[in-house]
Amino acid sequence: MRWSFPSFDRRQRSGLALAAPTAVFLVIFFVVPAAVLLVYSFWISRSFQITPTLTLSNYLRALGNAGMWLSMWNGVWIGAWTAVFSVALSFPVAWYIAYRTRSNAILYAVLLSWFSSYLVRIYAWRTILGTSGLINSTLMQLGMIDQPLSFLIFSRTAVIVTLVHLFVPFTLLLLLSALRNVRTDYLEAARDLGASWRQSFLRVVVPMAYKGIVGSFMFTFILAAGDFISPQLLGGREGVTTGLLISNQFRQTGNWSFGAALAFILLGVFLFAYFLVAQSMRLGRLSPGLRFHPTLPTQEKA
Amino acid sequence: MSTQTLPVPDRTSIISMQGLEKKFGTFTALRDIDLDVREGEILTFLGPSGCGKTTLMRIIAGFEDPTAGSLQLRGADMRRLPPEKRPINMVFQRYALFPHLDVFDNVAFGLRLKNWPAARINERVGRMLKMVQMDTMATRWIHELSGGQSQRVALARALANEPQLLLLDEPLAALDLKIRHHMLSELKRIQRETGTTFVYVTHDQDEAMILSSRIVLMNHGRIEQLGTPDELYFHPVSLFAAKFLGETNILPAEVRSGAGDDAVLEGLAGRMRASHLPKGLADGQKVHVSIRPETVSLSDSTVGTAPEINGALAEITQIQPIGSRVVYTARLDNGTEMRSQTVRPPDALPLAMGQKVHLKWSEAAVAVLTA
Amino acid sequence: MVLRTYVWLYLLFLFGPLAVITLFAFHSSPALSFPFEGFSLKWFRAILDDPQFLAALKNSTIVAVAASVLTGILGTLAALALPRLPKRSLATFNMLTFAPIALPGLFLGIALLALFERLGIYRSLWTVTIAHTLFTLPFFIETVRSRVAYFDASLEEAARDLGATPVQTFRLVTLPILFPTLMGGMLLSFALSFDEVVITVFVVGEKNTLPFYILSMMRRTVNPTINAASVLAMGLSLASLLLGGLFFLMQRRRAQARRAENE
Ligand SMILES: Nc1ncnc2c1ncn2[C@@H]1O[C@H](COP(=O)(O)OP(=O)(O)O)[C@@H](O)[C@H]1O
Ligand SMILES: [Mg+2]
Repeated sequence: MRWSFPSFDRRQRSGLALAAPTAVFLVIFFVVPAAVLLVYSFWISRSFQITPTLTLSNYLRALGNAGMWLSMWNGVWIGAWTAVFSVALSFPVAWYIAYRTRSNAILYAVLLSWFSSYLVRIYAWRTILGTSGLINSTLMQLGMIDQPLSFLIFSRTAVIVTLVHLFVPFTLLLLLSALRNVRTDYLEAARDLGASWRQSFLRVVVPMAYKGIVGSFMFTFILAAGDFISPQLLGGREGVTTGLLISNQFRQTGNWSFGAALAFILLGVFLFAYFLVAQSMRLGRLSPGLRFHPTLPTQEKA
Repeated sequence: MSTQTLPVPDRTSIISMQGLEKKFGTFTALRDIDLDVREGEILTFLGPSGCGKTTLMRIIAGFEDPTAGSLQLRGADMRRLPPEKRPINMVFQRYALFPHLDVFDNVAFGLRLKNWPAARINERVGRMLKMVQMDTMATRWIHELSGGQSQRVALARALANEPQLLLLDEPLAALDLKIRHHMLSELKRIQRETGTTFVYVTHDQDEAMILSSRIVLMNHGRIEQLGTPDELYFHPVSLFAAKFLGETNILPAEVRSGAGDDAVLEGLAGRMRASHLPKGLADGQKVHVSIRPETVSLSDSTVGTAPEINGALAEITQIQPIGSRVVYTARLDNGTEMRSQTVRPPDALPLAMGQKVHLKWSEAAVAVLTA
Repeated sequence: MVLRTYVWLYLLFLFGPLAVITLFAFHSSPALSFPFEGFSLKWFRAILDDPQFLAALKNSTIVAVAASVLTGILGTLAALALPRLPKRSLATFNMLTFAPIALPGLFLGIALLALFERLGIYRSLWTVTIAHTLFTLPFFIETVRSRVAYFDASLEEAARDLGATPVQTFRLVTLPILFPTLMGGMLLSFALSFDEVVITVFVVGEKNTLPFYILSMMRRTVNPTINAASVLAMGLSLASLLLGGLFFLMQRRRAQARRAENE
């Protein structure tokens, strides 16, 4: 047997050398920690003390726990609705920026709002939705209600509203970069061949911008479902998510192994969600790269 | 000569435009467009970049609305009809082949929208791909195609709907020269086979000359001249038209002795007579004449005498062989230069630098330009 | 037109809540509700007198500077590597550099916490800086990626052909062309780090960062000092972004002026 080393030219070798520091940094501070976490999830820990005993008990305990399933359901619910609203709200704006205007002003405004403080925006919604917040106090002063509307805050709805506000600029950016790949002449070609507005959207825009649309949905979903600060500050009892449970294991309870197991379960749910979304797009024939004709008998590949 | 192989155009018009105008904000991209597209012809929009060719084509396709004027399809108003309802298809400048579909599905796109049964789609797509000689590549993805192949698929896709009118916007611009010439004859063949009316946009005069039944020469959003390739080449009506199509000698001249058919022009190259005269010439009117280099013949001045009319005595100042041709530049006594072009003989050139020559051209070679 | 109106509503949704917070930072009464009773700067005065706030502000600045410099160095090297890497390695490298932001910050936070604990590293502003770099580096690389892709390799080759050493080529050709992009990326990193809290809560030591301090204020109090603190924090990170934008604009103006001169 012979070892065959890949042989690189000078340019490629310099590339590898330049990439090395970043790669090393990311391996040390991302890959290794992830591995440590994975190992932890199979060990035992209590009050910040870890015992290296191989066990599945963390996973079994998590999967057998109704509270865990409820928090998972909450997180998925919150993430899914946040993603649905974010994509639905942003799509028209992305469309407008991509096809209807030549100025970048709106894009810059959106970018600016994305980088305006994360916490401030959570705080803003607490101010607006709170028991004595803007909406309730205004409605009460107007005499439209006598009791503060309690569902406004400390509910999943409050969390969803806040998360939509937090992530919608990000969703928009991803959608926009996807639409930028669909030049107007593709839309016109579709119209020219007889597609209605709706048909050209479903048969051309969605498959061509597939990566961006699914990507922005999934990203928003994952970030929202994994966020724990908004549920903590706005979710109340109803809004306890797995993310919040994980954070509590690490910061309060000190059962890191259990927390790590929860994290990997959540990761599994994310992967499953991605699979579901991709599969339903396929079934809806909205994916790129599908063939819509039976394989023809006399095809060659030159 | 170039029109011989084309079908005789049917006189009934598919599209007719009257007083069409298109403004983008304050900028007028098209004005006073009166034009009929006739059944079965290849009509070419020719003109420099930015003159409004694409805009006019997009108005026909339905992607732009004219700001004034009428646009009719077989006598019915077309302005309200959205692009997908028009029996017109287009080959886009950059093809716009859908990258998420393979060759087959691209061609089938329009047919699927009509909910045709699979068997019928297979038959039609197969026929179209065979016609453009792409039938062996039906399962290729778009990014696996060369420029010429993409061009063929775009053509097949547009023709699959059997449009009454096919629009082609500079379809060959992205191809290299060899393939371009091949594709031109392919286009002609396909047009003949399908009998579809073509509207073809180009800024390349050679393409227009080779392909067209008629050419619409455009300049600054206006129709400069409309006619067969021969009409445009031999009887340009304006300085712009004469210069845009082919090489030519342009000389200022003045109308003399009567405005009738026997008018004589007096100019820098002596006295001239033209077989075709524009109507309404006035005595003393200043005009230009255009004389194509290939219509100017040269002969040794020591033989015979200088012609009194449509000719001049000159001295050769430059000899430029270009492949199969030779272009001579000759200077007249008054300093005016004229070029003459002949077929290059296989042996030594008969004329030399500095030689005195007689220039001669026929009455038919003189085009009088009033604009 | 319907679409335009919608776009305006969308922007209103984005900026409305921020405007509300800003407005109440200037409220003369502690009430966070209408009617608005008059303007006052007292909440700003209160927060600026708070030594903990000032310390947190200082810490955040230190961390953001350190993280953006570290990001700038690693990220620039990575950006230069992108067009040079062999195809396979590039795919792996792209995945590696993108992965940290494809996961919620929570994951990064707990993973780093586990690592630091394993290695016996004491939590401090250093651990926060590393965590922030992990978070900002992917953003930095993604922003410069497209610019680097457009960068014409033949420019570097031309420089080499004219006798420049690799180092000279970098200093005289590559860096000046990429400089605005790299600068922009670093300011972006600064802003992201300055605002980061999700990962921070796991790796922060005794010294608070500004968002972490604001988060603890939010748990304790509901009065406009939080608004004032928020407005200050937001103002600072937006200022760094605007600075970046201005920098870009000036660079472009200068390039345009130069081109105009040459014509
Ligand atoms: N959507 C538009 N908005 C503004 N000006 C346009 C638009 N489309 C075309 N134009 C202008 O109209 C003129 C004609 O353009 P076009 O029809 O594309 O020319 P051609 O195809 O002959 O090169 C050009 O000056 C172009 O700048
Ligand atoms: Mg054009």
